Amino acid sequence: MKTTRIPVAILCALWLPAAAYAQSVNERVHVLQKRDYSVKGKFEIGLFGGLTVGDVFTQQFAHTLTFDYHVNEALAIEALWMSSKLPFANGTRIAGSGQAEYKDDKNFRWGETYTGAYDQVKSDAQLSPSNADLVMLSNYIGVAVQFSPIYGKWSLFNWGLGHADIYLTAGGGVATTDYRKANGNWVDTGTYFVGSFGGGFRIFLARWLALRLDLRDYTFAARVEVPAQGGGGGTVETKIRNSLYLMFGVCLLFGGEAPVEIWSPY
Amino acid sequence: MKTAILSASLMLLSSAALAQAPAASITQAVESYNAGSFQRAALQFYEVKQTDGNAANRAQAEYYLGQSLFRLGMYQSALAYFNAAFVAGPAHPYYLKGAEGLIKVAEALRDDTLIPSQINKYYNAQEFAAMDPMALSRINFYVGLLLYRQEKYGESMAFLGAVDESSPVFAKALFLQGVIHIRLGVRAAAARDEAGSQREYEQAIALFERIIDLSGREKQKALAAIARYDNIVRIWQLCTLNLARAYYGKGDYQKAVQFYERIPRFSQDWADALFEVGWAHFMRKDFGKALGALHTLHSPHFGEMFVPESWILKATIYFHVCLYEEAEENLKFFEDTYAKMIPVLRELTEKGLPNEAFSNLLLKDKLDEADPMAKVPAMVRRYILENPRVENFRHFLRSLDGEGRAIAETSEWKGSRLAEELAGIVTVQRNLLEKTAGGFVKANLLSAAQTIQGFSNHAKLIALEITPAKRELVKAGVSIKAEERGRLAPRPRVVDETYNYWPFRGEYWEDELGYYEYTVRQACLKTEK
Repeated sequence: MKTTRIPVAILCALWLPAAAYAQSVNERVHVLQKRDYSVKGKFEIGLFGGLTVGDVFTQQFAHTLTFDYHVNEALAIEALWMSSKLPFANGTRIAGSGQAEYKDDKNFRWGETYTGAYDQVKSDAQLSPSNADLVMLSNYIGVAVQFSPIYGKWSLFNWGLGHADIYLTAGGGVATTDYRKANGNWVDTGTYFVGSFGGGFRIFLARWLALRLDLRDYTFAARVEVPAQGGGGGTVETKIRNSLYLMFGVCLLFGGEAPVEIWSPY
Repeated sequence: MKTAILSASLMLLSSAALAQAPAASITQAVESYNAGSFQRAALQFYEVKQTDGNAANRAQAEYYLGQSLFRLGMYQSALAYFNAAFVAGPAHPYYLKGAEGLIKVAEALRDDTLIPSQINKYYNAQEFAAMDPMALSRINFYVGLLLYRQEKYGESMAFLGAVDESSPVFAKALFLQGVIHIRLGVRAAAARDEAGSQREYEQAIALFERIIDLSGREKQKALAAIARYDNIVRIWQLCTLNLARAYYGKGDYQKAVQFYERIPRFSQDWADALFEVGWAHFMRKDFGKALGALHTLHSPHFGEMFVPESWILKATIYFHVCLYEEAEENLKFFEDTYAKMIPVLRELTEKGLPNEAFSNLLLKDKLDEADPMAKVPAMVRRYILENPRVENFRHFLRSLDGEGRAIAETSEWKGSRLAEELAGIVTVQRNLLEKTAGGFVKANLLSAAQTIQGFSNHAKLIALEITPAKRELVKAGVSIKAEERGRLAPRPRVVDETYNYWPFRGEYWEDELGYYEYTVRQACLKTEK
């Protein structure tokens, strides 16, 4: 990959007499070229799909819809909605104090589930993880700032050239959360402010089309109210939850500066 | 449309022929022609031409024999009979049609030399005035092209100027006139007629702009122009290149650079544009960009391209920026790569080989080791083979070989005098083609040798200039090593964030070709010019 910092591949490895390309100590050769995939002033709409990685007890899939505006080549502002649950019907609410609990949940969920570690802890060690450890994001809406200082190109076996940029992102928003009890009922654990940070890269397939791979961490303070067995005051479990999402997306770019074309009579 | 008209006219001829007994066999021939049985028709027309007592029938048969063969794709054979009708002069009832037939054959065979030359020889302006204006325009264009090649520019312009505006070759004719103005501009400049030179370039520019204007400079109009004019897209590309040349000739180097930069990268004309824009940058004293253009031209993408002058230009630039060692290195490269070709080329062109021996370079895909043409340096061979006329020669040869086979394989003609005569025509033409192609190769080899020799003399002059320049440095008490004399210029400024800067460290990336720029050490002493 050849980036503004890291040249790696040789595209043309044909023989040529030494004098043809030798550079003396008295000269430098530079390349100054218009970016093939300039994003300045462009809007970008992306649709992502992915899953959480790295959480010991929970796993869920999610889709994300993003809308970016590229202020310049390095900076973009992004609004996004990420969802693991499309709300249809919460089912029947179980009467009681504390956070709302539902049975016969009819919402559409993207595989919100617990990992094998959860079952193992429960069956082998006869332990139960903290409920706060099981809280998952169900819907998130937020904004982020994207900073992409690195733009590069790469060559794959000299078949062709690819262009990509690498970005860092940070932002925040609000999210609804829930967790599933052992009896299968879902508990609505409330809405939280969520901070997010991450990074990714964008591969340009055309001036209007890009693929993105995005790794983003969503952090929030989960709070679960656990009613006491047989009535009375319950307990509250809190935990800083980090949900790390690996997402793959397809993005459409539009607007921005029209590419400079050499005049042609066509 | 043309076919329909010809068929209709033949129908009429047929009824006229029927009325004129005893021309029974011409009637049969015409019937066969009208039925689309061109092989039979050709045979019958041939018999009529040879045996009919009626001169009008023989004349008619001669022309339609040509037409039948043309319809069979036997262009060279058709040419013989069209030509017979044409050279017979206005007394021949098919004189004008014969001339039109010749042009059709010239286009089918992509012959822009032999047939136009024949037409020019017998050109009769008075008689040709009665010809279809479109056909006449084509004739005028081809004759104009021929005369241009013979450097008879005044006569050529007269023919080209007579091409009808609605003719498909109109744009080509305008283009050729523009090129002639450039040539005349160069001539005037060489004769130190500055005003005359400027005038010629201005006229050239006006003509090229007029051709580009045929596109309406918008898609719909351009599409209409593409449908209307022959090869107009290529002409537009060439106009861009020639506008650059005209501005260069005028001394407006900035404008020349603008047009050179419009030549699309990786297009047919890009190598020429890179080399020439190198000169334009040099004339503007923009040495970094001049070296950058040459860097692309010398990149692996262009491989071993025959560009001797580019190395002399590079050495000249280094000399101008007082990088004498670099200048010497480039002169050495020129000597090692090009100058050593001179004896080989001279030997080939001066040892009295017949033209046919040279034709192998073009007409054979693989050369035997014993073939003298195998000695032609690969760079020069490639240079010759890249000439657009080579493909025309090859097309002509393929066409002749195909025609020879078709004649032999036509069962209806087996053992006939027609087959014998046509085979003879093809053989004679093939021999002539070999001679012409060989002449073309020989001329190019001679030209390559002369070009290298000319630049070799330039190289010696530069080398001679370097010696006193170095002496001056020693006298001034400074090192002759440039790295001890000045600082490297900073890297070029990035225009804005939509541009990328990449340092070049020996890797050639295809997308970077055409975007190189050098910065060099500021090695000249303040007193040096």
